[in-house]
Amino acid sequence: MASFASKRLAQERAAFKKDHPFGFYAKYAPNEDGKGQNVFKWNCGIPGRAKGPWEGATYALTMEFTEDYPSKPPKCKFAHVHGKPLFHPNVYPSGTVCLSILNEDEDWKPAITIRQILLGIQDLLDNPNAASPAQEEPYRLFSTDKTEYLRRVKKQVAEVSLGAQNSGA
Amino acid sequence: MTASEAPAAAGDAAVKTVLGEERFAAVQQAKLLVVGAGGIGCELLKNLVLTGFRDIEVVDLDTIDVSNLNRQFLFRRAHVDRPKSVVAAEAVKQFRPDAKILSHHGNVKDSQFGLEFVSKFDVVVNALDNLEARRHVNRLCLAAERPLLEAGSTGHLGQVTVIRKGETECFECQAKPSQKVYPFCTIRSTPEKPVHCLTWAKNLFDLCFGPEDESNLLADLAAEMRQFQSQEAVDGEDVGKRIFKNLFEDDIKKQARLEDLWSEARPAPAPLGFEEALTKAERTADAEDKLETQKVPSVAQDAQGFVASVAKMYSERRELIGQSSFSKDDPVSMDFVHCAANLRMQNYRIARLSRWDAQSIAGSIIPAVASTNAIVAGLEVVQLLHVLQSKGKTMRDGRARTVWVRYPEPSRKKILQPSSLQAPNPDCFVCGSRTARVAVKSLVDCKIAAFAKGCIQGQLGAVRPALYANGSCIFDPEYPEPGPDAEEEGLHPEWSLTEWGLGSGSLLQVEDEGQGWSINLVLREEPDLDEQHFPNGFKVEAGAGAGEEAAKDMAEKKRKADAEAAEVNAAKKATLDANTVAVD
Repeated sequence: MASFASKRLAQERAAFKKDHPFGFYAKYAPNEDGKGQNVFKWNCGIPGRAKGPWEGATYALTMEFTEDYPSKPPKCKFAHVHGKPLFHPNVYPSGTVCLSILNEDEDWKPAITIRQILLGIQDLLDNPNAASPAQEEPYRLFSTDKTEYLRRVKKQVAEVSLGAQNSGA
Repeated sequence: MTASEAPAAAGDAAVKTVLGEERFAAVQQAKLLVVGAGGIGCELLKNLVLTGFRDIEVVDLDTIDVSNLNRQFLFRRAHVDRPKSVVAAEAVKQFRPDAKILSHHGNVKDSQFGLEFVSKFDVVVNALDNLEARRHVNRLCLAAERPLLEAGSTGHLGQVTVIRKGETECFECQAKPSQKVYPFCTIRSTPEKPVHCLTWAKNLFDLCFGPEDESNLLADLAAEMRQFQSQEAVDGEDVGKRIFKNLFEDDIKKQARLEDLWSEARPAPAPLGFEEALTKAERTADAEDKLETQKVPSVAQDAQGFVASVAKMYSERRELIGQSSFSKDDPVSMDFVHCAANLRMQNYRIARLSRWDAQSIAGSIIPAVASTNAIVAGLEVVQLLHVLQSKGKTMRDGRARTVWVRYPEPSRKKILQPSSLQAPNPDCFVCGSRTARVAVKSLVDCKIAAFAKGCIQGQLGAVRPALYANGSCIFDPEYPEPGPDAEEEGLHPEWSLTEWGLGSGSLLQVEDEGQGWSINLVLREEPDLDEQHFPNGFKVEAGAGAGEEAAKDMAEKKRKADAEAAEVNAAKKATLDANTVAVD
């Protein structure tokens, strides 16, 4: 029988299937032994917002949930690009996203849906938060050299759209 | 009567006097399942046989460890490494040789202890120490409709309660407080409390000396650490100093430069060089009568201690580097973690800790107290007697209670605090959802896709059912046919229920993605299922009317939806008519 967490995840899955923003995907990851799907691990994709610097590619991200979901948020991690962390000021070298709605001590609420998380991260791509730097180089360029920062983002868009992102972190 | 039976029989007479003939007869006839033979379980088994229970089966997956001997009194040194369930059963049998006590050395989550097994018993009595097993037994008892006595203890606190389907709260009706996990950013960039630094230091130890682990919070520092560690002719002290400089000086300087992060309320961290640390030899004033480990060391001692613990790993445990993991009981790893955490606290202006405090926080130590366990096990038997006496009454109308055990404080002299049993939470995800039973002629022959279509859609009326078992999704309505696409997703619509690991007594969750409606199924294999009446090979047996109710609910929903649709149509038509009239 379902635990509270897996029940909620099953409902999130059904809700997402029924209605999700254009270009996004979110589904259970297959179990490693190929037998069934892991309810607690999701493979997701976030498209760069139209007319923003990240437009033109869909960025792969995994979400990992625990039995404590939804009282605790999932851990969201971007897949690496050419073996390097996603170039963004609020993405840690491991790929983990630093965002207040994903922080139990800040703005996480159990009512936040997976759709809202994905939209929140999409928004973060265009609007980095200078108050929580997670990766040195993108943070430095973002705060000192916007032109170079945007050039690097654009370069990454091209790489990701050509399939450079892999899930190995 | 043999000599060995005499004490039990004499005890029986006394118990009979206390309980009375009728209750004593109930005790002698009851068939009990005890889950767990550890701290509470040992006390419980002893209490049960001395109260006159004589038909007991006990399940435990553990073997006896030396560290159990201080509180699990049925075990002796000679029993170390033997199964707890077996030794406990042997030991209490000596108190009462005529008792029938059957032991099972295994995990209660194994399929052999499924629904059919649990259904053999009159009452299930838990003596478990972890949430996962408790949740599992709770669900089994709900499905089997058997009363469950649930108990637990931490330190001086304990509780005992009674769970019965439909009559009381189940184990999962109320959310349980969970262990705190700290957000990644706090651990990595902005620690505020000692525990943040200890968590960081534990991860650092595993990163430097453990196997590669992608989930380590500091995993991205691995390459850097390996670089320090793989210098030629590695000198442990040298490695320690390099790591020191990197983490407590250079990295902190970088962090401090991230100006947006720091403010007056949250000042930037202060880098600490090794030589500088050695000059800080002053100690905080601590009470004289404290042990050395209970006093906070000087910064110099932390710095030296850190380098020394790294050096020790290289001089004494070189062969274990790459396969060690942090343990609060291992002095070298505890030294490392204590010193590293203290140095980070120094960086971030957090008051440093004594080794004693660091160990209890890092190891999340809550001592097991033998007397709490004994009280809890005693209360469980009292509640069990109430349950056996409740014939004809619901649990909440009987004498059974939830009882809390609390440490007596001057303001509150009572140790025990009883409270009445609560009604089930109708929104509970476990006991509130409907449960139906399905008999399947052959689990080996029944394909999951056929089951979903014929049984769940055909008979339960679901529209787009997804099926879940054991925390996995095993059928997705998007992939009803086998093929490479389905396989890539880990789905195999052509697999039988057996291939999916489902057996008699297995629990299956159905989520109808079409209508957001769900039901739990309990499977049962019935080879004699009448093929004429049930040509598909399954029969929905509405457990407690659940299936019918579900169907009714579905019909009701559909009727409402249809009615609404009709209303909308009628409204549209009316508008149209009105328009037509207007045009006319």
